[in-house]
Amino acid sequence: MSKISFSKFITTGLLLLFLVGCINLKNVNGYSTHSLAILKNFEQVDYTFSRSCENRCAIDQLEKQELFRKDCDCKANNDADSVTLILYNAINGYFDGLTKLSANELTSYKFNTANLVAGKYGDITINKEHIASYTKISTILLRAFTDGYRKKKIATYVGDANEPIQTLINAFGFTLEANLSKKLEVEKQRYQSYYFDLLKDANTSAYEKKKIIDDYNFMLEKNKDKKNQLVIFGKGLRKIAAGHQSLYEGRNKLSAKELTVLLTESSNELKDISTAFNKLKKNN
Amino acid sequence: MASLPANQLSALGDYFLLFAQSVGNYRYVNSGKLTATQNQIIKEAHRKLLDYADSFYTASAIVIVNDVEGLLDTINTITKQINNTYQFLTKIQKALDVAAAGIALAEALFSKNPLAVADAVGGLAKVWKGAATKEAT
Repeated sequence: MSKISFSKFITTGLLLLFLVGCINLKNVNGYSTHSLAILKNFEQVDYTFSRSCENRCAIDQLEKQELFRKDCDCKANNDADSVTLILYNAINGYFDGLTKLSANELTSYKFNTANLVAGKYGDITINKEHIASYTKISTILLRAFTDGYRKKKIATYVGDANEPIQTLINAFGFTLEANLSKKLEVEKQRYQSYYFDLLKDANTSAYEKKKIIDDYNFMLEKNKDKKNQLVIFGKGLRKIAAGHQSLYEGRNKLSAKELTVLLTESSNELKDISTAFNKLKKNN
Repeated sequence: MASLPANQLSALGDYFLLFAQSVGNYRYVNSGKLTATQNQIIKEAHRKLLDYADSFYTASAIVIVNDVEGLLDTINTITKQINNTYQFLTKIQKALDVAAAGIALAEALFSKNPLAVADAVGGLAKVWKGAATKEAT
């Protein structure tokens, strides 16, 4: 490599470095990583449509005082769980891909020049400084190319995905908050009716009444915890959707300070929600 | 029932849940005045109303898939594209390893050192094999 071409090589490298040096995929990665962590909490939610169906059958069994439970038809509830899982998998898959694609480690390429030795090779002279510079610039150039490529791709994907992902997150949240969470309310009323009759039975002793009240309070507490899980999860989903909207609106200026601030805020809020959810899990 | 959209089915669930709550509360407040038969009739009505609310919530969670069917396909396609880009980028490191090993071989050939050539050929073969194995997995 002649001196001129080597200088050109370095100049090109620095120019490319300047052009893409301001790109910050870290914000995108931080946001998508936290979003993914929030989404994963869904797998920890201690309540499903099928579970609500099984609980209904268990309450019926108690009401009828039957030792053996009759057939419990939960097909519709199983279908509801399947639909919910389809929504979850689609949203989770998207954020998983976004997290992997925006990860810095992905393009930490290294050009292995350990075997490149200084010396004269025909008309080309390679000295030690050349080797060191070549290694450094190669890495920078590769990074510059691939980071620029990733930024462009991510901007396209975020642009295409915003509308469907907003609607899917909304539908997922609606299913959990407007339907599954309300089933907990239905279940609460079923228990209330059952325990009310137990307590009002003229043959119930004072001690038995205390036990009934304790049992009822315990059921209420469990019901409330499950509801809280769904409330916190729903809050997390809304933050994820808001974060994606910010990302969408600033997708062509990923280095802009405002976007950095917005995504950092989103990430912090998502982190808080994750902590709240984990606390709730520990209490159970 | 299934022809209604998810939000309307859920709203019907809310309506029956509220209705059930009123019937249940009536029974709890007036239990002393009700005969055993009346109590049983109201209790059964309460249970049935709760069953309806339950069914509307379940139906709403099922039909929501109709509202988002096309969007599910779109997002799944985008996710596939993202993963393809990711796969493409992970392959670059393998290509770089092979290229660097190739340069080492070229240098060795240039230096006309038989031992260095043998080492470099072995190095290239090793890197190539590693890349091919990773590819297969």
